[in-house]
Amino acid sequence: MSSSPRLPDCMRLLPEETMGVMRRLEWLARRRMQGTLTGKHTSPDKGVSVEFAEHRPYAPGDDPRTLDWRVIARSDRHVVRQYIEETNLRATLAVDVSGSMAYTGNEAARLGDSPLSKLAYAKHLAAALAYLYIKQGDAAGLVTFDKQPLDFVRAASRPSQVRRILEVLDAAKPGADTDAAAVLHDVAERIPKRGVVFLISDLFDDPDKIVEALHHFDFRQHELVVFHVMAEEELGFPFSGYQQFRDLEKIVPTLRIDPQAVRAAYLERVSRFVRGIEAACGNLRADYVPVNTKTPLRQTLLRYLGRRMHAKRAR
Amino acid sequence: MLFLNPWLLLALAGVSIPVIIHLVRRQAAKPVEWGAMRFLMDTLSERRRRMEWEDLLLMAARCLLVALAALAVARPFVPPDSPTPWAFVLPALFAGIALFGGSFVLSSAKARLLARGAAIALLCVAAGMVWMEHWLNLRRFESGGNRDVAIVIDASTSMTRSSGSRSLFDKALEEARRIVKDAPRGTSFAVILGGPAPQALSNTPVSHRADVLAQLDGLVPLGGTFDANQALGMATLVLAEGQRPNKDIILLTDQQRHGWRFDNAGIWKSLEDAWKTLPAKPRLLLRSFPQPASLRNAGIVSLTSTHDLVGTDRPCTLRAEITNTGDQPVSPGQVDFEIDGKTTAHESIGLLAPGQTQVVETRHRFTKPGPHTVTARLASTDELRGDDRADLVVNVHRSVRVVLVDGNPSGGFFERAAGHTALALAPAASLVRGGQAGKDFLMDPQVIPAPELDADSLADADVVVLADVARLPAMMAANLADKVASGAGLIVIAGPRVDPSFYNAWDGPDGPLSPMVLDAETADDKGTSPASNTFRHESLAWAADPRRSDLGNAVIRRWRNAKLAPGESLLAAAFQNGAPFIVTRGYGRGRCVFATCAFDSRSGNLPARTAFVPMIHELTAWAAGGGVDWNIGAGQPASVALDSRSSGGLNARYSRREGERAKLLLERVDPSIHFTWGDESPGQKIPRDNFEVEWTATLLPQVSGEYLIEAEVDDQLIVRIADKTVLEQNEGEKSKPGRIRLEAGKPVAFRANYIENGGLAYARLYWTPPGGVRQPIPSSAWIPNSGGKAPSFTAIDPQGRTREVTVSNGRRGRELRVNGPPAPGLYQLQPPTDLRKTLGEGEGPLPLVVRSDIGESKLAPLTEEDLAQLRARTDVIQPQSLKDVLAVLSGKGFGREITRTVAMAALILLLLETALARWVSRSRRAGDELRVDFGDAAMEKGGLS
Repeated sequence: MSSSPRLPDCMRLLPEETMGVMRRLEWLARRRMQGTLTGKHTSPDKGVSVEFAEHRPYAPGDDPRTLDWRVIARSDRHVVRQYIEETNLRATLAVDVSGSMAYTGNEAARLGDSPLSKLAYAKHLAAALAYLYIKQGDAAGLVTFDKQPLDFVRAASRPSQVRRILEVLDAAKPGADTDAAAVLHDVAERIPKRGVVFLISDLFDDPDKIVEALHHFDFRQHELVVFHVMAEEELGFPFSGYQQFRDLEKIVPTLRIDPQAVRAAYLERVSRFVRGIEAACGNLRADYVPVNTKTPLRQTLLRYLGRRMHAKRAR
Repeated sequence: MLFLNPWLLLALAGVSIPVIIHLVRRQAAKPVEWGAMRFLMDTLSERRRRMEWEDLLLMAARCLLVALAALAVARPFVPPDSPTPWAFVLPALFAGIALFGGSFVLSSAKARLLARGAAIALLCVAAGMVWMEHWLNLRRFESGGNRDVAIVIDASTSMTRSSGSRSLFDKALEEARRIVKDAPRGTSFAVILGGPAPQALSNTPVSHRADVLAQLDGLVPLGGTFDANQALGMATLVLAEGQRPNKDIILLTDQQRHGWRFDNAGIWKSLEDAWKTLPAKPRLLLRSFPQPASLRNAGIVSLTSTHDLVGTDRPCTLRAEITNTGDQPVSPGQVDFEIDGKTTAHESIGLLAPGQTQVVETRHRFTKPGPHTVTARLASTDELRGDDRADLVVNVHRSVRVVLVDGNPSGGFFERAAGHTALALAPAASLVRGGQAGKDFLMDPQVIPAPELDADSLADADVVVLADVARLPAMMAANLADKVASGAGLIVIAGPRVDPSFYNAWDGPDGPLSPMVLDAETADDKGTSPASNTFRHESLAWAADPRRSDLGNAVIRRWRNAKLAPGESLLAAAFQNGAPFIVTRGYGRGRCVFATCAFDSRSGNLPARTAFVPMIHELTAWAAGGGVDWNIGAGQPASVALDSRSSGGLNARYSRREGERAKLLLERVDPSIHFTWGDESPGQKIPRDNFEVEWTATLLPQVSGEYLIEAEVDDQLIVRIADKTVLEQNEGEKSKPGRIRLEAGKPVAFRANYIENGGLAYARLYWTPPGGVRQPIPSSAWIPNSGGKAPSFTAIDPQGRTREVTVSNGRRGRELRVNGPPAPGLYQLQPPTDLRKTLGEGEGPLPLVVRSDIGESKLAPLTEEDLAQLRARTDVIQPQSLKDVLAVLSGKGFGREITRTVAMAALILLLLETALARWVSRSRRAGDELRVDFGDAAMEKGGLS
């Protein structure tokens, strides 16, 4: 972890809050490590491991030190040694930056003075996860999307990967409308086999299509974690009095309605949507994490990561 | 449908408040940048239709609520006989308002336009109908501003009945007071008390209310029947004196039909004409105080005596007729008879069914002559006390002076014409010729042979019997006719000697005197007998029974043929051969009896019958029965004609000459200027010589043309007609007739001055009418002037109050009149002594009875036809309460107020709207605690330990 007298802007995505969580997790991991052999990755160092897993073809960008010269000499095939740790953990962070993620609401958790928009929250979440994985020596990659993939950062485990991911995240602006389903199909194809995909999105798309896309992930044998980010207002619809609802994604014309008139039906719809996603995730054995932006970031991280730690230990 | 506060209808603009609130809320929509639009969109598209309906209903309910509240505040009412159906107007109005308000929540422009169009159409229809109603109907009411109001209060006997704790009259009076107190400004009042004759308490409408209230304070019911037509007429007269443009008549009555006289269309037509002459046709506010439905009452229908002629010599029978006028059986108990205030007899009376009548009789012998009061009282306590007493004035004669003029004085007693008759009337022959019959003997006969008859003989006769008298001198005949018309009786026995031409032509003030046209005599040896079954006359009814009278056995051999004269002749008895026997007629106030056969032995054996004496008595009594009747019929004005002469005569002033001036000695009314005083003085206190007489009168000729005036005079007579000296005649001069042209029916002033210096005194004035013969100017031509002071005195009326009584000279003689409305009951007149002497025997107050009408106790209400008749004459409004009356006076109109209904509907609508709003919100499940179950709680599981 590099620290310099003047922090780059993107580092704000890893605020003290997050770092505190990271440290705590680390401490916990160390504690556990003392009694177990399996579980969380023990070596504090990242780098070369002694266990050799397999070869894979050389791709530009791979570390030259991992090239297996013997194989090259023998068969003239450029291969890279892949060690166990490398084969185990490749995390891809898929972050929805569509217009609907720009919604903030008053109830959202605050970092500083202003409440976090769903996008900001998602960014913080993604940043924390990236940091965590790379610190562990695992690879982390990023793809941002709205109705199509926008930015793609290939998974890598170098320490500089964190910086790269943070920069891309920081620069991401709310985009156009969502077409999550199509993108997810695309992402599912792109990501190399057997990694874990963290999908951080509000999934505001046709639920059936979403579910179909999720199935695609499963087909590709990815482990999927769905962070379903929603704002408190979207879940409670607490508006009273006539409001003019303007579409953040600029598709639907402004609706001037009395919220009380539609509240129940809206909530019903949203509820069905959430249930649908949850059920689909259950069927796919994907991890469904409902994230309400009013929940403080720290709490979200602690709860999820703690849970994941337990779950991993159980595996 | 109209409104009591029409300006408050502007509050209907408040219907826009819910609409404005809705629009403002919409406008105040805050913009929200929203991400989950798809869910909103889907929800909206699914629920849009239902939401719009719900919003429409709510908005309509709210607008309607405001509209109902505004309507209720404007106080709607439905006026009577309203032509527009408010059951249609109101729903149209509400539908229009609901649609209009609801159109604002609709989203599609086409729907909005449709709703608004329909709303405007409905509102226009409703408003149009209301305005039309207003224009048609309220014009009746809206003559605001100054008005004259005549309050006519029914003060008849039926109003004395109690309804609850107070009598109807008191209730009406109380309401009149409240009307005066609470009427709008600019109203002036005239109060009229309605009864047998209306009594106006002021001549013009009074605007100072305290004065009117003071007038109302002293009022008590008059009694009698309410003559509605007269009362309304008087109200009209008083209203005509008022200054204000609008006229109203408020009639407070129990709406009893008796007295309205709807059968006489003429009087109502003339009332209607009178109303047309007022500046504005008056409205008649008929405020009724209805009688309680069932009536328990018995009343006295009449109190009469069986004989008109009552003397002190025998008891007379008094009969009272009692009837049950109600609808429940009543037991009156007993009838008490009082004579002159002292109870003399009780007759009990049993149970009377509704409508049943019973007659009770009692006999009483009067001991003193003169007018006596008989009172019958019902002891029962029933609901109407006004008819439980009846009075009767019985004029008891000391004696009936019968003057029999014997047309055949020669011959034996029993052959004289009047012999048997006189004997029948008096017990002893010695009584004939002026002997005293005895203190208590009623009939006082005197026989005068016909040749000895002169003007004074008949002067104080009550009945004159002309027994077989051929004829009478013209003057005497005229005087006798006058006398009969004034109340004397005449019996003419048309025997063989009579001259039919005289009797058939005998004329007088009331027309021809004879009820028969006499013809020649017939003689028949076999003879004929009176037929008992024809004895229907009240004086001969007793003789119809052959067991009681043997008149039917009489055989008459000579009788005169006769035919009944057209007119009022009544065949009292006929012979068995059909020829009339006795014929009667009423003449003026007297009576005539004519018999066609002589009552002597030569004509037959009639006088030998035992029934002859009672027959003569009855006929004489009946003939004498006329005269001044001090009982006045119900509803008639309280006036009595004291004389019934053909005319009043002339006002005569007798003065004594003293040098230049003349001293008035006597004022009286002389029937005519036809005096032969000779050496005697004309009257008391007047000297035999040196006196003057001035006669003034109004001369009313019957024929137009030139009249010749002549006089025979000692000493001087100057005649002025129409201020022109027509005649100046002195004693000893040749007759110098004056001529003057007169027109029939046109009265002219007449003055004659007579001077007597000395010696003989006579003044006889003659005229020759055009186409006629010289004759003394008949009394019928004179009408005395009623100028000068008419004597007046006081009387106590049945309620104990003082009334003024005047005696004035009318066309037919003196007329006594009690001022004020003729309420039924007993009046006690207190004339001065000299007048009292001329009015009857005895001293002390003179009773006068106004009979009551039992129809007043029958309480039949006005029927719908009666009201329709009234409505045809003028605008009749029937207010149901004091409030309605005041509303009409304020020009506001009245009717069935539906404010409460509207307010109730508003309240119900409020509840409905609340329920609807709750239902809508419940169906939208907009509870605050609702939110998506996001599984946040799942995050709790598996937290870090």
